[in-house]
Amino acid sequence: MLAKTYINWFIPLSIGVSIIFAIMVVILTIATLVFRARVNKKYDRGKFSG
Amino acid sequence: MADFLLIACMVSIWIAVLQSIVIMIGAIRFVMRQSRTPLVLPDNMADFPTVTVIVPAHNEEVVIVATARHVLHLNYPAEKIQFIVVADNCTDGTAARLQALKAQPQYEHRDFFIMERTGTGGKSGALNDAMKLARGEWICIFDADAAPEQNALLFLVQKAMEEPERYGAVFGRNKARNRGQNFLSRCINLELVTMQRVLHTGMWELFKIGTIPGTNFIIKTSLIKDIGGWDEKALTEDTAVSFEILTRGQLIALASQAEAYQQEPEELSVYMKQRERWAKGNYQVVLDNIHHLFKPSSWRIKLHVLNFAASYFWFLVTIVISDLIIVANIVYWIIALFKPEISSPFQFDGDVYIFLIIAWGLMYYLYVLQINLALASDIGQSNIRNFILSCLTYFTYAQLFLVISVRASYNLFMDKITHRENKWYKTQRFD
Repeated sequence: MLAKTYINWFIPLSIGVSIIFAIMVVILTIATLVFRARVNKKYDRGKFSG
Repeated sequence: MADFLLIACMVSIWIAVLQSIVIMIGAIRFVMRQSRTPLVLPDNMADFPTVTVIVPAHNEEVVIVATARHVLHLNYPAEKIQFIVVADNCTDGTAARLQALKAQPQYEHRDFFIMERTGTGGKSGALNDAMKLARGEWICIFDADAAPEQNALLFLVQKAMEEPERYGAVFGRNKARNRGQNFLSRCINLELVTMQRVLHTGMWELFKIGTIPGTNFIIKTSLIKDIGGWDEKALTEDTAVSFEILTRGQLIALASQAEAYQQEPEELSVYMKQRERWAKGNYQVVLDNIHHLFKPSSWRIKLHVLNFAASYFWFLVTIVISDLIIVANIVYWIIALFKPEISSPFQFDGDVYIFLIIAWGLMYYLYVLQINLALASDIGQSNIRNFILSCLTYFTYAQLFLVISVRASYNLFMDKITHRENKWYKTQRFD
């Protein structure tokens, strides 16, 4: 019975949380790539390897 | 029961993902700001405080001379440095090599003392004995394998001088100098870089919370004396001291430009011993400080305890349970190919299971993203090889954490019920 009722609220909650997290992750990815590009430009990092 | 486990796992993974997102926001803000701030070296260091640099060394003849040289060549007024190397219960040539170095004409005028010690207490005991001789306003600790960059101490002190009343300790960054040695050392390097450049910076930027590492940090001499020195029973004396500092209302500041190289384990057995000690030590510190959650302690201590408890207990249990659910379902699916009447005990209604996979996927993506943010902020490390490695380590190196944690928990439990003494294993060095 419990198993049947919890999905009524848990699935909408899961969709909401997943969407919010996905948006945050996209923003963080863009910020990381922007930072990486800035640093590469500043130090001409292509010359190094580690 | 299976549904309850699934919901508990998913909510816990969401909290872990949220924690990663928050820390990453802090880390990005920190690195962006730092990349715009130029390095400033002072022209005059007359008003800089005196510092006692202590290096505890137990059978460290392989590395100790190089470390001592690095300390003696730090860009800091020589007359303001008191240098103590503790040759702690050494049965090798550590003390003799240091005496030979000290005898060199260029170091004759330096305040350089080699303390040959036979007492107990391991690293903490060595530090406590050296602390009794400390005359500096600050004490700086470097491990015997450390190679601090020339300005490391200067940057640590510079940070301390920003708010000397508020900062009880300042810590820098440690880098793996043998990172290219093998697969293990490359993985450790990724972990170290991520800890230093994402976790530490994020926590400092957002909450002004720091934890002193075992090396490359300074602490006010009066403060460590007030604490009573380093806990000789603690396996991770640095984490134990960190909580003591926070309890006294002082902050542990991050001086991100103070960098020191250290040697990381190159063999799995050495690595496992080291990490098991750390895990056991951190569990003990969490247990010793969990009471802060139920007392009117400062919010920083509560958050710090919660962060440790979540990372070492809660999220760990969650990962184990969610892994078991996924593995059990895969096994049952394979069995069902041959015997369709058999079904998994973890059958869930609707699309709930899909959301567990999505939550897990987000966690994995953030794991890779955090490593790559960290690599981007460290010169020469953001390359294709490290990117591929960052994708692979989750399934290989990171899983070792589970084994280590389970073993450490079991050993800690057995120590408690059998009243067994903790053993402090020194990490083996490599030529």
